[in-house]
Amino acid sequence: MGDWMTVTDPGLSAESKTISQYTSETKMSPSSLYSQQVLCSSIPLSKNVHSYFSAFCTEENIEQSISYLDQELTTFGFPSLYEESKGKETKRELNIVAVLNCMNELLVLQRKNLLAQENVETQNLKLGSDMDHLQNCYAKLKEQLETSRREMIGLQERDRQLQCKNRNLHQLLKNEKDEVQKLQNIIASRATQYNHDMKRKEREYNKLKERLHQLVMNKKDKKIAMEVLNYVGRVDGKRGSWRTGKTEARNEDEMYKILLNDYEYRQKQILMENAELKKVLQQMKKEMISLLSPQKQKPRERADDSTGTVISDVEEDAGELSRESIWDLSCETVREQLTNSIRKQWRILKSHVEKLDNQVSKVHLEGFNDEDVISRQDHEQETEKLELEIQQCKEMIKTQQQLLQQLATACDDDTTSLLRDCYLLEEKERLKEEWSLFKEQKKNFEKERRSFTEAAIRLGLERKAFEEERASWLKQQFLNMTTFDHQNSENVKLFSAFSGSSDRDTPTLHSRSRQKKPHGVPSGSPVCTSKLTKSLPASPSTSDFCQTRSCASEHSSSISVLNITPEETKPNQVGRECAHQKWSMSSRPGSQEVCYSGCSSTYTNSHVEKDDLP
Amino acid sequence: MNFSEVFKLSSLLCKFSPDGKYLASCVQYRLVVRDASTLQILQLYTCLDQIQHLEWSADSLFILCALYKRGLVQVWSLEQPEWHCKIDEGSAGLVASCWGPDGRHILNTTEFHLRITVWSLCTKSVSYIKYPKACQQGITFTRDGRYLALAERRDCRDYVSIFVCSDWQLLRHFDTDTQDLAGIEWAPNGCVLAVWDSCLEYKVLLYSLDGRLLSAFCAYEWSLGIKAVAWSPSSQFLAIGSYDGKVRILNHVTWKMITEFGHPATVNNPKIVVYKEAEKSPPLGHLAFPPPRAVAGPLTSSESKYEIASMPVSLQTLKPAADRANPRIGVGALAFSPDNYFLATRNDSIPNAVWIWDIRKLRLLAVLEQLCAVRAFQWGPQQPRLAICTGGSKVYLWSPAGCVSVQVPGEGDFQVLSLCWHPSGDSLALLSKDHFCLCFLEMEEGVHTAFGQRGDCT
Repeated sequence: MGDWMTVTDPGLSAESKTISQYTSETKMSPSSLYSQQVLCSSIPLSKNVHSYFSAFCTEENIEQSISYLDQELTTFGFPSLYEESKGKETKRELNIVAVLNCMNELLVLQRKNLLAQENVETQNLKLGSDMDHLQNCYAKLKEQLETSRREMIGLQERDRQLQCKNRNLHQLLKNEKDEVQKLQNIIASRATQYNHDMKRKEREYNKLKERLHQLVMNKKDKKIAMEVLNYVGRVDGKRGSWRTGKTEARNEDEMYKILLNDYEYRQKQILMENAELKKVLQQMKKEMISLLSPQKQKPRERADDSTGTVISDVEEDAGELSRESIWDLSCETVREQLTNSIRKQWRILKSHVEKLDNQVSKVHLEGFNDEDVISRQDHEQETEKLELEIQQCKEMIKTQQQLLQQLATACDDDTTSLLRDCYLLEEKERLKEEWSLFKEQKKNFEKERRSFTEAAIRLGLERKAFEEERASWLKQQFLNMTTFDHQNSENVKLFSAFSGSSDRDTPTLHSRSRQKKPHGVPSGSPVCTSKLTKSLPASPSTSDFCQTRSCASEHSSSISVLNITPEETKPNQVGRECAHQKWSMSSRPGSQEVCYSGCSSTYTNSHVEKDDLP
Repeated sequence: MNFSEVFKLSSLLCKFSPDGKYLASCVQYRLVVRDASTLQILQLYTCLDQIQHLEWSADSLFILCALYKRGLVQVWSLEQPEWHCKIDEGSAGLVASCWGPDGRHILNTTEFHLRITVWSLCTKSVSYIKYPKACQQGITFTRDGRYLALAERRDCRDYVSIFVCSDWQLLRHFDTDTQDLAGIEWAPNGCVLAVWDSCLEYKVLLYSLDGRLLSAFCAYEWSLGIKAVAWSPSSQFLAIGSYDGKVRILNHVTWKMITEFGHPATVNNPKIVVYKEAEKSPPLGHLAFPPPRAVAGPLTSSESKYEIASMPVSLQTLKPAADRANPRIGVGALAFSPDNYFLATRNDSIPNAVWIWDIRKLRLLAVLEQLCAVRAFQWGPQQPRLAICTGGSKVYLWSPAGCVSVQVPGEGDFQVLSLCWHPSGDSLALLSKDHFCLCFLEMEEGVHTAFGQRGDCT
């Protein structure tokens, strides 16, 4: 369409120059035109195409170009552009449809060609790169070949050199051996020569010695003499005897006697040693028999004929040995018998022991590894377990706490009964016991409570008095307002708190609390203190501790004092009575009489202490 | 452990009498006899010249003093101080003198080994033995004193003559198959005589009392051979130390080698304890042998102690001079303990070390490496205790329980060159160049127990 449009487009005068050129070109070689067209197509510039077509076909040469195209197309096998002429004279008409068809076909063809070309190009590129790669490879391989060839040559050379060296060394070794031989010969010859010379010299020396001897000794040297005051007696007291044949014979006899004695001694020793060894053998045999007899069945079952017979032999031998004292006889047969039987038994024992050893080693090997692993795991597991337990305990304590609080807030009959039902029978039993105990305690507490209430009343009275006193004191203070005094009073208060808790010396406490009364915090109401006293059973304090507390509350010491006391005193007690405490708390629901509402503070205290315990 | 005061001495001549009662020592030409326990002077004899050799008779009644330079031997009696005896060898000269086993005869070897003269103190009789061989150890008596074996050389051949000591009658005379006999030694039971060749040839021959050749042993050829030989007290083993640094042990039944103890310079066996002597500057607090309170002055020289070295231990070795004769290599000293259980050896190329071998297990038990070269070592006569001296001012004691280094107290440096045990094993004479002192080992029970503890050795 574009083409056609260009055809219809009026040509641009500016490019008229090139038109002719192109036309001539196209005329000359339509293939080149095609190629050019192809080239151009790669550059999608409509302007170029436009100009090109305008150059090919102008207003003037439409006919010519059409005919040319027709010709060309027909030669390429396209249908003619012209309509089938009816008459020869009549000018053939341009068949637009055909043209368009042709055009379309051309375009399709061109697209195809383009595609093909692209494919070809990419293939070409691929091939080119492949080629390059292969060339590279080739070059590399060639290089490798070269280097390996060189290496081979080098190795061959080295091999040759080494062989050469080896040959040389062999030669050297041979030479050395020869040398050694030669030297040994030399040494030997020198030694003989030396010995010979020595002998010669020695002979000379002997001659000289002889001569000297003659000269020195035979001259009757007066000097050679012994001066002695008097001759001493012989050790044995006898006189020296003359040397005769008799003495010689006696000496010989003695010598042989000595030798004989020695041999006899040695024989005796050997006999003793033999006897000892025999004894050992016998014992060994006995032990072996006793060792092997319990598992006689086993080897018999398993073992082949030989071992079976051996065992029977063993038994026979044992019988023989027990009835005969052949140990003193050292004849061949006995010895053989003994050694043979021992040997056999030894073999059995050895195999048995080996078997056992194998088993043991196997077991040991497995067991050892397992043990090793398990021990570590065990350890970790144990710690984990313990931690978990601790966690559980803590949780339990917490829940108990909560439960107790709940109970304290709403201790209905229903809930208590419900809770009661929850307990197991065993617990019920235990609880019953504790229940009775608590009842007693309760009674006590009731008494105490009464006393406390009385005390509270008294306290109220006292309090009033105190208030009055305080007012007067304040007045006084106002009068002589000094910070020093104020501090002093605070110190005293603190001191009281400590002293009241640390020692349960009631009299002192009494006096102190009385002294401190004026400094008590006014917020601590008598009601509150009474409540606190009620809470006492919850804390596992000993009775005397209760006493102190009661005393403290009796004298309405400040709350701070009360709060501190359990913390201070517990560390000793808690350790002992923790379990008890726990139980007493869990059993609390049973004791309805006790009022819990005010006790939360003490419970938390005890809870804190328990946490501190581990 | 107590030390006596220091006495004068010359030529390292100091000897306990065989019965252990007396101690004889020489100071120039004077012979001093002391009580061995109190150290009081009992007798004082004056010789004609400087004494060069001193020997007790077997019955502890006589003392022989040899004055080689003058060719004289003077004999003194302990019982009769006025009694005296002088033997003059005249122009023949004198090179060696020793007692006969009965204590009534003296054997003098003349110069050039021309002959041995046997002088009797009982009779006027004089016997001569010709052709004694000049060698390392040419005379040996059996332990019971019955027989004397003597190495002889006649017509360039070695012979051994066995004499009956009671009347000096020749009992056996046989030639030995040796090139150049170097030594002979009776087995303690007196029935076997070991004969060994010079170092040029490795050869040990064993002869029966009646002259039969029992066995011959040769470990190797060509190189230098035997350096030292020792019998075990039970006569069961013969240890042969050789120039190749090994000790070979022969048994008495087959006379074959039963084991070979090498002396390598590096010890790498955790079973072996290597005691290394180490200098220690501050005084020891835990010394097993407390320094004597009475005698000990201020300890001047540095003290040392033993440390147990960790394996492997490399011992100090001496490079032997190859171009010199008598090279300092090989096992030059070896001694069995009196109970046969241990063998102490010294390899001369590792001069600082003493090797102690367990004979029951036939293996190395311990090595003691000293700071100086070991001069001498000697086993205690009753217990397996080894005393070692290195020429320093210390004496070293080893026992199976451990070992200790003990400083010899006293002003000045007391250089222990030699030592000898009292026959009871309770005391030890330490000899320096011109002094000696006694070291009493077991004065009280506590010391004894302290000695037996291994912890004390470090």
